[in-house]
Amino acid sequence: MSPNFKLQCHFTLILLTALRGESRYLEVQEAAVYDPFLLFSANLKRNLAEEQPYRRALRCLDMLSLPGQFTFTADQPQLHCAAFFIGEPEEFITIHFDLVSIDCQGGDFLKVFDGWILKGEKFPSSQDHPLPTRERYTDFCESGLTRRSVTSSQNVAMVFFRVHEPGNGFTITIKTDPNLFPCNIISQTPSGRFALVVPYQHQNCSFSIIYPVTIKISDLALGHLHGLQLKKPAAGCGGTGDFVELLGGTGLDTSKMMLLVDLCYPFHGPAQMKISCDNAVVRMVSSGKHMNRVTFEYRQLEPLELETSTRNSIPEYCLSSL
Amino acid sequence: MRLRLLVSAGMLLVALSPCLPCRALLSRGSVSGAPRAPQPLNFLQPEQPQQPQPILIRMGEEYFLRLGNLNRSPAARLSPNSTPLTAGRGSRPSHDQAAANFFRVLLQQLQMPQRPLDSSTELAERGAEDALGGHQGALERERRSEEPPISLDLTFHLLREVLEMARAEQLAQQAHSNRKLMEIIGK
Repeated sequence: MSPNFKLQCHFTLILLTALRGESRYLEVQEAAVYDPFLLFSANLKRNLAEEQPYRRALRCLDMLSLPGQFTFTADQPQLHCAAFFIGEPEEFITIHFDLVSIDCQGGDFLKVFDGWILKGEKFPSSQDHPLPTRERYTDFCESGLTRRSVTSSQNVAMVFFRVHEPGNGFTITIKTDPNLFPCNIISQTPSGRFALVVPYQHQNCSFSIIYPVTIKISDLALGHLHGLQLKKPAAGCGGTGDFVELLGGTGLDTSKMMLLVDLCYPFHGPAQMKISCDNAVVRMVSSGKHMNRVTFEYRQLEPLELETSTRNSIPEYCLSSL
Repeated sequence: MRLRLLVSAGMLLVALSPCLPCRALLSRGSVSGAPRAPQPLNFLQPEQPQQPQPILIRMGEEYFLRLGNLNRSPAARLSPNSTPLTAGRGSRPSHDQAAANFFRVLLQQLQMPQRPLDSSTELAERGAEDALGGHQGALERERRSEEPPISLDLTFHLLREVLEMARAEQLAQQAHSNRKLMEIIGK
């Protein structure tokens, strides 16, 4: 069979397949006229726009990762409640108070925290967040209606609340806004890939994975790519300049975590590390003088891998190997 | 002994009815008024204190006070007549006691209107205490509310579980949205 003939056969088959689809459409619609621009019609856009937001009841202890409207109604005194919010890495979270019916004078409260706080440990840590801890709290009982919307500085936020009287509660609407250069992130998933970019900003940024994981860094760009390093420091990066840290710990606060490795110089190529801690963090310290970028993949460690690690390690120590 | 008792009784009767001797003196004076010039002078003197009697009778308190004074004047007269001083002295303490009782009653009466003041003061104090207590409670509540809520004790294991639940919810909602989108396109 000649190549030209083969090509003609393929072309014929494609045409036959298309015609078959067309005939199916004609059979279903009968007299209807096919409109290839249906996807761009105004009616379709209107229907999509009119779609109702997601709604459900909020629990005393809850986690939300999608926008919508959520209502908490106490059926009994609820004294220690919290709702965690987490968005995509490149999203800010906005919390809007639609309706609040609580007794502030009776000891009820409704507070938003810019980040997550667990067992007294905060993410982002005080070293990495632009605001002091006190300013990261927004107390509805103090601000009232003057400030009904709170927007987070990263992809995570929390609401703490206490409601004594049955029947009292509140309704909030959660929205997300795009974050062009995400700085502090908690991963929604135990596996994934991310590029942490800090463009000429004097700030510290952390990517937190609340699972034991293997991290594989594929690319690290620190400052000028063609810069020559004549001398290398004896140990560590000296805490100055631009560098990347790999941290491991049992809490959320990066400042209380164990420094496993610090990367002082740019490199290209896979560099893999296994961190068997409850929380693994890739943290970038930027002087603001350069465009810094670290690209990495992470994968949750299997139980067998964890068992293997614990056999040859001290139980209290989060084992790391490179 | 009987004579003394009779004399004491007589003295008491005289003390209890001070008007009678005054009237007797007035009648005697009117009978022999012209021949005895010095007696009219004596008669004129008792007439003057008797003039305010109607006023005293009308106003109880003044009457009581004046009554004590009137009792004293007969006693003074009797003393120069060398009547038994013991009886006169005995009558004085009784009057003093009556006066003391009067003042006590007066004080009690004065104290009575103070009671509502005291009660109002107590009510005011109670209100203040309630207000202070409420304020303190509010302060405590404010302190409680001001305290950062870091008592949430959640393990990483539980945190991951709720995160996975949220993730599953998000995927389900996304699937639902996609299904709805396809239905709309299918129209």
